[in-house]
Amino acid sequence: MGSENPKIVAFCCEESGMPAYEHALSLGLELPEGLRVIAIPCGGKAETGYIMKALDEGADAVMVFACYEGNCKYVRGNIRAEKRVNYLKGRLEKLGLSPEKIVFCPVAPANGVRFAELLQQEIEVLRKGT
Amino acid sequence: MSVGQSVLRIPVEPPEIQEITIAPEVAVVGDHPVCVAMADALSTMGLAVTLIHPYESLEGLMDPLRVLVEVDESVAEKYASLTKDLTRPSIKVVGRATVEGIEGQWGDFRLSVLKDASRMEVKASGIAMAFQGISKLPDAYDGMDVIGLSQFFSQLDIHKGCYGQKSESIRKIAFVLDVEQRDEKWASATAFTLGRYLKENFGTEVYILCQDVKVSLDGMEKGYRRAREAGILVFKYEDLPVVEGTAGSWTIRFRDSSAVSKESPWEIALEGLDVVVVQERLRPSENQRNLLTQLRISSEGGFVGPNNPQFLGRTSKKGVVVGGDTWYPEYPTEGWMTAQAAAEELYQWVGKGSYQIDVHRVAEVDPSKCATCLTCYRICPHDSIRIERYGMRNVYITTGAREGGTWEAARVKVATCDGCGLCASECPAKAIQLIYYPDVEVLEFLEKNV
Repeated sequence: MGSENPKIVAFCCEESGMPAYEHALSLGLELPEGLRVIAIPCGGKAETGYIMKALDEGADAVMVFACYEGNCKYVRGNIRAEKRVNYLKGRLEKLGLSPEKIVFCPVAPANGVRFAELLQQEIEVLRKGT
Repeated sequence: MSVGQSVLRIPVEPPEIQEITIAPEVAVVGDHPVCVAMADALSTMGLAVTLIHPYESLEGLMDPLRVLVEVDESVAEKYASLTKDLTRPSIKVVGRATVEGIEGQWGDFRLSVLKDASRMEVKASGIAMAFQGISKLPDAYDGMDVIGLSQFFSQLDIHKGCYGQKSESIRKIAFVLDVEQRDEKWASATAFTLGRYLKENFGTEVYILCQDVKVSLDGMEKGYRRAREAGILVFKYEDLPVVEGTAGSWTIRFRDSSAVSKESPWEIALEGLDVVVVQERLRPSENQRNLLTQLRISSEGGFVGPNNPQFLGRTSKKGVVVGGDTWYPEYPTEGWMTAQAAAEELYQWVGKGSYQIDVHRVAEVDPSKCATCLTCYRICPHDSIRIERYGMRNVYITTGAREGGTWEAARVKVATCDGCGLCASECPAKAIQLIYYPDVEVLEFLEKNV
């Protein structure tokens, strides 16, 4: 499929990412065709293994949708997720891949517009890269 | 390879219910006046309360309110109803005691208490905490002879209107508020109430300098208007006021930004002030810091409130609530509301007697893989994974070790686990799985759909 219709795996926190996704659907916003949404109980559950597996399977990008800082139901889950994403970006760079393949996106549960925007932004970034 | 969007949702299975019993007994810990309110509320709800405080008597605990009771009717009303009836048999008061450590979980807390140089253990199912903050003058005025608000409070003679060693009433006083903390309402409310009292009873000239007038407090809008009517002058500043002179004849210079436009503020000098009172910074006490760390409750600068402002009194740990300055510095009327909310929250945790827990939505450790590296123990937001040190040997066994054998692994306490999966995602040995949402599901979804 390549850059025409990139495959994006979105790990969505049950508390913010998933409601935002549902909201985007209810608004009838256009979401990319290659979107794969995986619900996780907390942003911090987006394991290194999950993200690498997704890239291994051929995903063009992995996005972790979690809560804003200070909003996490589990206190620091979103901060752990962000740190993990930053760590993985570094690993990707060492492998010679583009670190933009993994993104951490804080999003509010009632902000489906932002959810769609972030996906669109990522697609543009991917298009520029190729 | 499939085309089109696809979604993997968290599987919802019928809950697997396990019943646990919780004894309806709580401990109220701290040195803040709202401890009394919390103990009162909890015992009214029918719980057995142990109130542990460091003073000789309950009057000592209520002492910080002494001045406000005389000045503010709304405080006096509640104060009178609180102090009237505290000799209920369901409240056990332990005075001259400090809590040094707290161990355990919801339903099974063990407090080690130091009373009269001897140690004792108190058991409780839930804990309510309220400590007083320690005040410190703001850096800009540190080392000067100005007075902090709470110090002024404790040394003010309310019947003569005089302060400290002097015998005549104060003629001119200025309150400088919002120096370092702009969102604490207690200082604003205290200054207005106290200022109006001084003005009405002793003819004191009162000036209040602040960044914002805070009226979002119960009765404060009225209090502010009455203070203005009584003749208190209120100024707004943006740059910190300069305080000069010595005790007895202070001068304050600042630019008032409220009267005219912000571009051309008025230069104002207040001269010949007897007393300058500065809003100080409240810092959490050592004891409070210690206990919060032991319970692993997250707090912002030592205050729990800013972390979850929508749920009064709630903490990140199940079965623990806070009030007083441990929550956030508050004016007494507001503090009592927080205390009531905290007590009701705690009642939800311990009042019902037996609780049904969904043992499906939890994490589980595979003991054969666990390396007891303590990673999960550090990460768990609810403190529900425990590993206990066994005897003197450097062997770790779990709290629920099998009989007759050691089981060197972490163990999830089902009652307090919320199933967030943070431990599972960080475990280096991959020994932890969420029962309701195992890794296999996500990996299979990725294989099939990406």
